[in-house]
Amino acid sequence: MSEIKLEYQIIHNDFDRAGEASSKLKNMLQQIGYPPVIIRRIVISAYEAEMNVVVHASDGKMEVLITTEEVKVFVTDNGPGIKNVEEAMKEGFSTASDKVREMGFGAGMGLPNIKNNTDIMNINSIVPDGTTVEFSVRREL
Amino acid sequence: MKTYFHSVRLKEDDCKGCTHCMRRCPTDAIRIRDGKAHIIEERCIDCGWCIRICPNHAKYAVSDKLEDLKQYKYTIAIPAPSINGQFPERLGVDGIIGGLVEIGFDEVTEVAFGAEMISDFIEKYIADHSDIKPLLSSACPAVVRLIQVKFPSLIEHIIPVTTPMDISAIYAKKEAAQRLNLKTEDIGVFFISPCPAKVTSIKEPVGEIESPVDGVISIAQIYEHLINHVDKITKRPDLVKSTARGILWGREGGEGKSLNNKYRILSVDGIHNVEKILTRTENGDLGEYDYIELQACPGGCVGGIFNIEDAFIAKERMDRIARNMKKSQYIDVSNMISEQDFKLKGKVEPRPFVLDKDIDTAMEKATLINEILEHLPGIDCGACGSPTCRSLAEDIVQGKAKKEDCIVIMKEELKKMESKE
Repeated sequence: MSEIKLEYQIIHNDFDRAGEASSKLKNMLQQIGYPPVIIRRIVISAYEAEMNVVVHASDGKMEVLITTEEVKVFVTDNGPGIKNVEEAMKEGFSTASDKVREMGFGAGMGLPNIKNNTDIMNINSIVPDGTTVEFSVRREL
Repeated sequence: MKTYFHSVRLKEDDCKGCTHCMRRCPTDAIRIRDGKAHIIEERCIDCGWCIRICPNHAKYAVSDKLEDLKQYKYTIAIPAPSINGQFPERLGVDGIIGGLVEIGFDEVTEVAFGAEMISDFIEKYIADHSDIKPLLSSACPAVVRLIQVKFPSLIEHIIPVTTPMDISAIYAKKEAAQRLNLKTEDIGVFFISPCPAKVTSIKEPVGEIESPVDGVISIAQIYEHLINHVDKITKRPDLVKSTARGILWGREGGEGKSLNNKYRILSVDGIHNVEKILTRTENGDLGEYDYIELQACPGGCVGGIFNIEDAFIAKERMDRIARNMKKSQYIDVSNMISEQDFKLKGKVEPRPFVLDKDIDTAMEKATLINEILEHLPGIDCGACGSPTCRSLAEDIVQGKAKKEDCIVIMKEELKKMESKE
């Protein structure tokens, strides 16, 4: 069975490049013929996870495993970690600064939004070492 | 494979194979092969950017001719709002309408008037569909096709409302048929267009089963007929139906401003800007907006390539004209136009470029593309005839190009050969 592995670097506070990883992932999924509705769910989730790293964390990376059945995404950073994951999963919870909010990020919809758009989602976070957000979306509805 | 009608064409003799058009094409639809540009039909969205950018004027767009009016017993011109920016201000809205009558149209219904009806309908639609945010304007055909090709997951965000052009055509035809007791097939409705993408819309409608418009005449043709005697044209104030609200649809921002300002609306013009905003919409990033006005041409329809006047000058003129008009009006056309007429009758189908219909094969090809990419220089120079190194890799995998088309690789090969000698 064929599979594709991808890896993208994510740079903390680099708002110029923010979103590039998700964009490249989207183009790949489109070219191999994933259904548009599924792509949308993956892109929204990947973008949220990517932006979380850019806004809140440190440098990190997005790793993707694509098969004909599903897409698995792992987004990892090197800290500072999420103190209370349960809190962070509530809609509207945010630790983003005013500056970041002014840019339209940090509305506190990030992690719950990933949960809503994916089939499986897990967060692993250790303060101060870092966070891994992983999720998967199946190709068939 | 389905063949698409395209209004954007190439004059091969004038093409120098210079790569300008290829590198700016928003859908990577152009390749240079054997020294000439080629348009990949499935990808072209008729935005006309290549026409705008070609230094050798080798790209052009087709529209219908004024002689085509003879095919109908009765003809109605439906001029785009942007026509109002094309002539000296003293000609005025009523003068332009008079000019169209002089050219040979039996009557005129401004698309600006239809635009006002559409504005009312869009306001209602936004209010009833607050669950879809943002809704995307369906007015610009190049944008709708861009969404089909590059952002198919956003099709459900496109507001399923017909265009000002179509509603104007439907209204004008029905109204004239009733008033004059004519058969609809005897009436020819001609859109006076700033835009080649609209020509394509008539021949190959998206989201509609059949276009209610019978022909498209470029604004440039009308301009040629009228510009040398603007002071002699008989003005027809009796035929003006529009107000400022509809006229301003012809420039960027006008569509957004025509809607109730309680809504949060973004106005975006220029196809590459549209792409950026659609990317963010796809990311789920712009959910606080109710509606996005999107126009492929810089400046909106006044920037369309069938226009003659510079878009900045045309915009200022239209603003001045609009300032002297009634701001808006109450339109009741319910006796002529039904709720159904306002809705798109067909589906907007996704049209993404896929490496292969079979996903396993497509994935193998994608892997191969990534491998090839590692050997390409990554400078996107376009000298190979593909717009980027990535698209060259795609073309190689599709059997449409070879690695040796890359001049950087060729140069290295040459060096190797020289050092061996």
